[in-house]
Amino acid sequence: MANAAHGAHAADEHHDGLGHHISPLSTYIAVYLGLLVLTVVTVLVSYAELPPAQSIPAAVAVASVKATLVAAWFMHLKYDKRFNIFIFSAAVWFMAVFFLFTLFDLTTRGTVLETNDHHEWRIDKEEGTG
Amino acid sequence: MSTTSLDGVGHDSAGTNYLNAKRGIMSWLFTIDHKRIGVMYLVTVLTFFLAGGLLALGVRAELFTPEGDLFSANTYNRLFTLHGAIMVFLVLVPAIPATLGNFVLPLQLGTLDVAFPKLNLASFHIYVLGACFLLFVLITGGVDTGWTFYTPYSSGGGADGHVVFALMGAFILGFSSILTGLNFIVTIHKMRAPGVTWGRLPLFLWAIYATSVIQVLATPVIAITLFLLMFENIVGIGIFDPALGGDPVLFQHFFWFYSHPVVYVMALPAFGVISETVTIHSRRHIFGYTAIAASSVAIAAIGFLIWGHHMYVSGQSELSGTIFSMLTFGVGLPTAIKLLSWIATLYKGSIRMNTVMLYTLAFLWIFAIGGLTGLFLATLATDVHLHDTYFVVAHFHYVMMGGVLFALIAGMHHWWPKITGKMFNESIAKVSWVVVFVGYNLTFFPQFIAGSRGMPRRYHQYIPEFELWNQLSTIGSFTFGLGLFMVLGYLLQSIFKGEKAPANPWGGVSLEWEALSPPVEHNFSGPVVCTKGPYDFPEAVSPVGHDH
Amino acid sequence: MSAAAEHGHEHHPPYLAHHFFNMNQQADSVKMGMWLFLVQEILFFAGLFMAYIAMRYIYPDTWLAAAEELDKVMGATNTVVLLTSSLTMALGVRAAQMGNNKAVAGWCAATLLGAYGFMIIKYIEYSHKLHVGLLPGKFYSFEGLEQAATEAPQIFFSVYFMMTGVHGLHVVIGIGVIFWIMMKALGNSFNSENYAAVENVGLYWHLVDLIWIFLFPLLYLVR
Repeated sequence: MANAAHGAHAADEHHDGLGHHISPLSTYIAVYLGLLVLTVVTVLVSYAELPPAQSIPAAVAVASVKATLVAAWFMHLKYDKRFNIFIFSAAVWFMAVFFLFTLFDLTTRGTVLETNDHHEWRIDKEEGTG
Repeated sequence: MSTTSLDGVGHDSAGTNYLNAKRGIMSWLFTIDHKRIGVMYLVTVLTFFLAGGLLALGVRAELFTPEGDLFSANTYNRLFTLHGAIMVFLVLVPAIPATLGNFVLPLQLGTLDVAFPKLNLASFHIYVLGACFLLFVLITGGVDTGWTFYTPYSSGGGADGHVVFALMGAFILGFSSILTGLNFIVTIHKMRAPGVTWGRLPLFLWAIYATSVIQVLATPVIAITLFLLMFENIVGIGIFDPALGGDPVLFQHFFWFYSHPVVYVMALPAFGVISETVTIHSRRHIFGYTAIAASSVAIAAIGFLIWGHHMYVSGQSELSGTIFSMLTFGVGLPTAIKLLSWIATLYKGSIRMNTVMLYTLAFLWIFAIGGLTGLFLATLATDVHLHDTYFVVAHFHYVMMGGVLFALIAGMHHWWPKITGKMFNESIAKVSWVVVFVGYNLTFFPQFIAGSRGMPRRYHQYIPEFELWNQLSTIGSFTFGLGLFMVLGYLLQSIFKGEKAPANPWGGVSLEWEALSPPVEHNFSGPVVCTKGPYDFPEAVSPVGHDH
Repeated sequence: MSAAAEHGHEHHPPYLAHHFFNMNQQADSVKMGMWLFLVQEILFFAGLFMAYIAMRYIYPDTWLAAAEELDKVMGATNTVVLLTSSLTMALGVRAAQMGNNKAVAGWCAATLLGAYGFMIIKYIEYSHKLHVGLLPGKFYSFEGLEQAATEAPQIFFSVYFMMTGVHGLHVVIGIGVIFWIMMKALGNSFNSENYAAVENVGLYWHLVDLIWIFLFPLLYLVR
């Protein structure tokens, strides 16, 4: 049962007993429909048969839009304390650092010494590098 | 902080404090009191330190002579592997945050407990569970992969022993670390007493905060790394093992993404302790409060960008190596700011040459050497020669052992009266300090020399030209061990026979000194309000009760 | 403690822990703790995504060929199932904010249906793969991929099983905690100031959904 009278805030239709924002039902439905549409977009983008250098960023971009919808409305970040948004962003940033720096190594291995098709250095004394 | 310190010794009107309020082993094992949890961590961490230390003495005994005559090569490999794994995972990571941090954090915030006391207890039990796995590995003969578990040797390429169990142990330990970090961040944000603003937070807490951020962000990556390595062993998934199509350098990226930031999990709390001791025991406000607080955060952030400096000769691209090298120089800046600020704090201070200050000064000397030698290793060109030599071993022992351990000892002595309610014997402590300091430097300084002249690490035998340096180092290590046993001895003695400690033996003004020594179960006897900064000492105050 | 004194009355309901002053402090603390926990989950899965990125970079042709063996319809269905369960969970949190325990229990039940549905489809996918030998690492025995055109197809399936397996484990854990919340709601535990547990379980479940949002295109829609 609602004991809102105890709290420092009175609950109304837009705020709960802690004074936090309650989203209307229509918001949730709209976000859900948006997510479904974006899922269709994800599938359609894959049918475009772009090369990996483009298809991966495209897939990640669409997924990121969906993720933003989930985070902002379903996870309520849009109405939440800024620090929680900061926490979430920090995780994403450091994840990106991990990806980018490691991928940077993988993609620049061939610049000084030659690599084979699998981006490995193979030094064979009889046949030279590569 | 109120201007009057509490008089009297550690008990409230009922005569109880957190140590004797509840009795029996169950009241300890199932406690949710952060002070008891901190004490339990301290006891277990020091026990594992003893285990890791004995393994180190085994290594040093072997290295007394150039021949590999004491142990077989395989046994030697297991000795240094277990030494490293125990020291890194069981000792250094929880060494200051889980012990002193747990005890002091709520007290310095003027609050009852951490944000999630039961989670705190869970962290401790998870730590013990992880430790059990590593102890099992130790008892069944250990593993020989090195604590770094590099593939392909550790992924089924011939490693001896229960690799998967060791990985499991470290995996579990990671969760203890994450949950502690999470707890501390929320506590510092949400549980500060009135008047404890961010600008009045003791620098120890800024350090703990930055440490906790690293713990939460970095530890899950080692968790998934060890998890994947377990499956590499069991199923042959083929991500890290070249024979199965994987990339061993990829493993190193995964491993060091955590293992570099973790050295700041170890070092930042040590810096925090030094900020506390260098101020209180010289009666001086810290020089550069904002700089030190900001540098803790900067070190945490930059520390995530530089892991590739462990991998210059691993096979990563030269371009990567160059960039990692440049970024690594960056982390030296905030660290140097701290060191110089502490020295500036001491300048014209009223320095009390007690045991705490001796360990603090030792820390400054040792960390300066450790940090400066890091520059040689950060530089790509010189590291190519120094990598995998004893120079590296000496460097990390200077910062880890000399830095973290000396800070832990300083902190233990500094807060000993608060934790135990007893004073230790200053004279014996000072004599022990001499043994510890001489033994420590004699152990590790010669290793810089041997390493720069080419002695490789992780070898159980070496060519005779390195014999002198190794003998000095071994003599030093046993001396150091003796000194540490002396420290343990007088500290234990103080628990039973020491003088009762006053609430504020050093005249500190941060909130923990308002609690009794030892504190009552709920820390303070009434509401706490903070009115001053943590280093706003009144002019020429003399400490209550004791003249140390 | 001074903050309680400001309120003017000693209000300490049974669901307020003794070391917190008021429900706002408790709820904010618990939510911050939950976000920090989600951070570490994100970094945990980041390792799996990094393994994916690295292996795909090294074996691009294998990825194209091996991904064809995954059932896109099942993958897409699972995506819709999880998105729907995310909606029902969010509506459950909303109901908790309004103090409606019955609705909370109902929305939890709906979410659980989605979670079970997800696991059933996963089970169908996994058993098919077991049947034809599309398994990770040394257990791979599928003959259908042209070995000449692709090498190390078992690595694709190693990555597939590690990623979906760890994700699936998190779904199972989610089922457990959502069930717990449902039982508490049936016991009328929540009200409009005491609903943090529902909110935080919701945050966890949304994260599980978020991860799948990225997994689906990266594993199933490789072309």
